[in-house]
Amino acid sequence: MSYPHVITKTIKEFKLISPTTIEEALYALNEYKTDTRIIAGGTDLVPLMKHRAVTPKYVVSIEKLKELDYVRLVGDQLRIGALTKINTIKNSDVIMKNCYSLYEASLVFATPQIRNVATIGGNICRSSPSADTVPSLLVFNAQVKLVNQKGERIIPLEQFFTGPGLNVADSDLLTEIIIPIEKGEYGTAFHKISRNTSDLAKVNCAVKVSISHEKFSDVKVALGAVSDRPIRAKNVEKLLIDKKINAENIEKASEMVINDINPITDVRSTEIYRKEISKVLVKRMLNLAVERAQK
Amino acid sequence: MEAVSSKIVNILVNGNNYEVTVASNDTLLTVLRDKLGLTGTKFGCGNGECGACTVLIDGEAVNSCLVLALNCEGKEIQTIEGLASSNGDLHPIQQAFVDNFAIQCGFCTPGIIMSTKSLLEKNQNPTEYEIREAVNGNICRCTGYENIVKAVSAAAETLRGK
Repeated sequence: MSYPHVITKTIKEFKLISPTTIEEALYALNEYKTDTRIIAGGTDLVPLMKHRAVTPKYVVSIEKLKELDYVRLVGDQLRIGALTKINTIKNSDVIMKNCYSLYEASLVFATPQIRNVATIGGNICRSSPSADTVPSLLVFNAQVKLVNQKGERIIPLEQFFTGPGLNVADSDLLTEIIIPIEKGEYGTAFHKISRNTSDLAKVNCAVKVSISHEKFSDVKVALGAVSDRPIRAKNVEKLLIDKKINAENIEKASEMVINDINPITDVRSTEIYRKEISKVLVKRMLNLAVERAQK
Repeated sequence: MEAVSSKIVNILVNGNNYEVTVASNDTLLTVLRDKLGLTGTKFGCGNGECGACTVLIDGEAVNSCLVLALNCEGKEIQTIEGLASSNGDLHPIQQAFVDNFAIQCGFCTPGIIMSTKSLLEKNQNPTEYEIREAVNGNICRCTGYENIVKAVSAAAETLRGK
């Protein structure tokens, strides 16, 4: 009898590089360009290495770069350092006040033990289609700062992902997540459908709505685990912007999510279930975000 | 800045300093169990899902099977072995688990007790919801969790009385 979920394998040998400054980390990433992985919390990379799904020759540990562990409100931007732990996000008043859906995602992010080490930068760079922090960041039009020895660039998070486990970062270090915070009234909501919270999402969804004169002045909807990467449901958004807030409009738009998603059947769920629950989830999150915006 | 495949490091476990040769691919769990002989911390899934390997690093509960041992230099690690006093008296959390029949096969117990310790160091008067949240990362095959919740609650009461 075999137990496929029990790991008896050890990690294949590698060399560990432990920079203490960003400059050193960038130097290391430039020096060891191939066969290299970055480790932050390690909650994804270590199991992958144990399963021998990845067998890097070099691993650059960035956990000593304490300067990347922060949550700051700078003007109308919320800036989160890449090494900020999920537990820090869970306990941050600034995030709870300005980015409630991200706070909600942190509540159902894996287990307490994982939240104590896993980082938001790691969750993004793992680029899993089901990453729990990502939908909330997408509905805020978040950007990420990528740095290498030649300089830095800031790109929309939406353009960061290129496929399951894939992203545009090459020998770049993701250092910061930048979330624009608007002045007016808005409401957000996040929910994850999963067997239990420590499990990965069957589907997750975040919504952000702004309201003016009983109409949707802005709507953003994002979902995870329904495509090869986390996605925005732009068909739903288009149908609601400038429309009156009522059950009929919300219902009709939620049905349209089917045109935004392309789910697969896998060990966690089926294509049919994911399609059906996505409609329900979008509707519920729209209603909840509206309720919160009106408070 | 060296690329190392192994290194002699000093790690602090339960207040004792150990000098140990650690390979880059060693997890904290394998170092605790195989190199330091501290086998109270259990190897369950090796995947960060069951919580049997839970220890505290700088007071926070973590899965030691997911932590690279080389990254533990200079950090304070607490394991189940550090709880009972040197004369053999059980820690109030351990005593509460015994008194409330919160242990059956016992394999998950060290991990759950360490998660409990992390909770009670921050919150001496947890609600049932907070207790269930705190042990959410620990899977128990036997108890059905009811007695674990009772034990954590009883331990909190004892510790508050101290």
